[in-house]
Amino acid sequence: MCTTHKFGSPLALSAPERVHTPMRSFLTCCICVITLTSSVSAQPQRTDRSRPISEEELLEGNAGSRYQLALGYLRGMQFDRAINVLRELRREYPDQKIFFNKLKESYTSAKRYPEAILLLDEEIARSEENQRLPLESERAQLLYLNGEEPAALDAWYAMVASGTESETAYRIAYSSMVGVRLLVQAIDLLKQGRQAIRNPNLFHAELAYLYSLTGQHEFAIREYLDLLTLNARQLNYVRGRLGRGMQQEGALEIAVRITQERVSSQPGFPQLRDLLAWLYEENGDFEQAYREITAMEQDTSGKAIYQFALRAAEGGAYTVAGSAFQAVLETHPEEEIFVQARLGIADMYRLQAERADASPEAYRKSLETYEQFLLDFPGHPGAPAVMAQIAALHQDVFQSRDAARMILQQLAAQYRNSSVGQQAQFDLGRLAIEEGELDQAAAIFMQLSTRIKGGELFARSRFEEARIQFYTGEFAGALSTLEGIRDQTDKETANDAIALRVLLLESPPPDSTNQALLQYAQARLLLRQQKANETVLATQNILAEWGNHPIADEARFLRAEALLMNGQSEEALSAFGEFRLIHPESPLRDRSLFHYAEILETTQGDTAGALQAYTDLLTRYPGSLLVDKVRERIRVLRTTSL
Amino acid sequence: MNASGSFVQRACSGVLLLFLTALPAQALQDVLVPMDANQSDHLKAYGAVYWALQRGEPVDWLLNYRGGSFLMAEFAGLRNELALRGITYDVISGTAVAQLVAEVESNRANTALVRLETPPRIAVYAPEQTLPWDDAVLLALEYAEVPYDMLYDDDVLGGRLSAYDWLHLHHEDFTGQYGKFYQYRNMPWYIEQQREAELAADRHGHHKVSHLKLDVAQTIKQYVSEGGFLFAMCSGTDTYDIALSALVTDIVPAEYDGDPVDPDARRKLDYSGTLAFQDFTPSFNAAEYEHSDIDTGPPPQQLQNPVLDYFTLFEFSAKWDPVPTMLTQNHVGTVAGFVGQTTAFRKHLIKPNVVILAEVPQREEVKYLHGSYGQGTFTFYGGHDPEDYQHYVGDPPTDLSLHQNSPGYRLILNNILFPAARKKKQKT
Repeated sequence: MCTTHKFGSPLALSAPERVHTPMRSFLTCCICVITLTSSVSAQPQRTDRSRPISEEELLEGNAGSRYQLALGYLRGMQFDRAINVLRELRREYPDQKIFFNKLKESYTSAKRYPEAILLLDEEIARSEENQRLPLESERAQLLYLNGEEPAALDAWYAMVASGTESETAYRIAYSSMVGVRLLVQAIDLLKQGRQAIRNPNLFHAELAYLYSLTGQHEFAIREYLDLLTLNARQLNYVRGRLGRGMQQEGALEIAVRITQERVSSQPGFPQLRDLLAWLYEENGDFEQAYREITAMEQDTSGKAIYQFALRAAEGGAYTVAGSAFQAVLETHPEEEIFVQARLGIADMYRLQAERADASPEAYRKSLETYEQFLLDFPGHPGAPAVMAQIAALHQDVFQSRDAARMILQQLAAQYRNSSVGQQAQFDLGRLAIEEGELDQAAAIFMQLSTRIKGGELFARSRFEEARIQFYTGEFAGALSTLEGIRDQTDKETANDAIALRVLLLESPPPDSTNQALLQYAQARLLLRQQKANETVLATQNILAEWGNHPIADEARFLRAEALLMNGQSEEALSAFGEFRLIHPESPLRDRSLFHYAEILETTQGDTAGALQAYTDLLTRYPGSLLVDKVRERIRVLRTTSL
Repeated sequence: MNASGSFVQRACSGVLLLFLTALPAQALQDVLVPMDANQSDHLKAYGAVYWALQRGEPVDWLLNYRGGSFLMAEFAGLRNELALRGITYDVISGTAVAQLVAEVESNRANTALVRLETPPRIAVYAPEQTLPWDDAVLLALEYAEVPYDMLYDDDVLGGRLSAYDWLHLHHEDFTGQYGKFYQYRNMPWYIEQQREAELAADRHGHHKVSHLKLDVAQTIKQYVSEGGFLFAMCSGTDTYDIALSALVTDIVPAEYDGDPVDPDARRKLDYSGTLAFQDFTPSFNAAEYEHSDIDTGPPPQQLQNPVLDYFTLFEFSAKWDPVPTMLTQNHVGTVAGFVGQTTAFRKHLIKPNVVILAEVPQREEVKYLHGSYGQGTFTFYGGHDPEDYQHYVGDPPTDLSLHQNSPGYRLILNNILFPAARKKKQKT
């Protein structure tokens, strides 16, 4: 309240008098209250025109109260009442922009466009030459909102003409036109601006944006390329803006084509090639991208090519990834990136083998590259992981158990408490099972699960313990172990664990020796050890000796699986085919029929037979867990048949 | 075999029964597709019925019998197709069928038999552009393998609607505010959506997108009045009526159409032109993700849980109100709730001639409603995705193979079959 004196009241204190003592402050406040009361009762207040009043001063007085009143009306959408108050304020304080702006806004909100235009005309007439452009642009926008599009366009064009055809005038007009979504018209205006100013390098960013918004991707990319050519540091900006537009259909192809043309005409401009390489990658064309990256001849550190190689390998472009890695090796033989590239090559071969054809040749290449890496860089921080990869290839792909064991033992001893060492110990246990050293395997798994006491590897380890108990005929022990990990089994192991548990629970022994189940368990072990022939013989013995035992269906199914593993597809087909006839009540009947259909489809090439078998499965066993897979196969085969 | 099978379903008189029971058993076999809890895939069953109708095979819809089961005379390939689609079915003899039909048609139970004969032609009003949210209507039709055509503004205004019995629509904004997704205005999909809409408006001589959408809404209304069936979900429901009410005013904030809302917009709203709602107030706040007070919004925080939030279906007289009965066929009486931009409708804003099909207990919220306009009907269903309690922009679409028995999705699919029903005169 005490600050009301700032409005120029005759009672205002001069600076030296503003010495604060308690009494003087009290008196000052009293005077202020009186002043305020008198000023409110004497509306409209006349101000001292000897000096200009600031906006802050204005809003703290009577005018401020009326302004607040108008704002209240506006919040309540009482536009007419607000406009009346604001008009008064505008009349009293014609120099105050705040009243002008709010009145203009109120007219616009009330859609009283003609009055808003008149207000702007008045303001334009009052304004200095250099302040008119934004007002004229606003006026043009209001004309458009008033439904006078031709007049609005004329106004915008007149404005840029009167603005001595400066860039700023065009930019103001452009912004105003975009505000009312006159995108095509804004393009025309900016193009005209270029000609009028005689500078074809203007408005690239604005035009590119407008072309992109209107779906004219070819023009948009041309503008972006012009922008990049003018300023090479705009590469990231251009990439960022293009990235958004590329999601529209056909836009990426257009961008690639136009950028190709530009690179051809300006081959010495590396940023253009960089952009083209990025566009190729976005399009999945790694070969072309690599060509552009190598043509840039800018990558002295080799990082760009190395990063590209990693992306290409991940994207499945193995050949070009290999070339890129090789290029890094050749150009940077003495640097750290050389080592990383070597590792990258080995990983790439492994990825290729796993994802593509799983050919032994690709696995072999991967193994050799990993081994060479280890020989060349034995002390590299990535060496343990490389050793683990080598061991896994020996154990699971090439069945070279001795080689695998040697590496795994080294890893388990050297990195005992790390995840690499624990995984190595687990793999040693698996290896022992495959070699028939079940006691040794059991000891390894027990030691491991005692040590790690939780997590995925713990559950897998305990499950392997249960399996060993099963193989050795300790069925009660196996059940007990499985019970212990019931809630901890990870997804990968869960189904196997459930299946084993069900098998043990549902195979009641006809005698106390459990001979049939024991023989079956041993046959399962044989199959795990890749001994397909022996498995076939073992299961035949079970069937001959224990043909009526509840385990007979499991044994017959295992035999069929062993025949398939052995490459005896005809025999496997017969075995799976006859299964449900011999064991019509077996829970494995749907799986046997599925395998039967699968062999017909894949090995025999009998589409009609496979289709019939899959359909039989759906009809006979509608509750089977395989129905989703079966439906998928039927749909595929139906399409193929057409 | 087919002819005799369908004949059995039409006739229940003792004489005919005597005649039919004399026929060989094989010839009288029918297939019952139960729609109660025993059905393995409720959603695919609708597609199978549609498939049968496409082959000229009539299907009887047994309203309120075992969840609204379907009965059809066996024909070549039927069982294989049902098996392929994973649908549970029972093969029943002619005698059993006769007893079943008699039971369903008897006055003792609130059940009825409605014969379906012609596969309805279905159009879905949706843009070709992929938007970052799923469309429950499209998901349901795709999963059930029910064929449909996609239409959008050009097709509707080009007069293509008359070729269809059904028009389905989902998350649509007929007010021309692009779903009020202003916060996403710089995203490529929003820019594309806005550009396409503006181009379409321009093609049809409209200055604004809101005018184009109003034109589309009015064309759809005309289609309904001439006998079309409209099914809408989520924001496709309330924005439709809001657009129709704003015939002579501008309710779109400047952020969406460049000029402000008509200051007199509230007064100028005309509720006489709407289908389902009246006396509502549109939201003029561009930043508010809400079109009006028709939508009740999500339930209170403590109830925002699919287990606690549910709605109940009304039961209608199957014999006297077959259409509402068809629309509410389900294997459950209460359905798990789900929210959307439009979650449910405020009861006091619903016109008195509209039939409420489902509501949220203890709250003044209507989830599912149905009404007639001219010779056609409209059905509005609140919420976005019945199996995704709260679907966010950018979320992946729901995998319906994991929700084969979804009661919420069943309500969508009930809305494809009733134009196939042969009208039957009621006793007076």
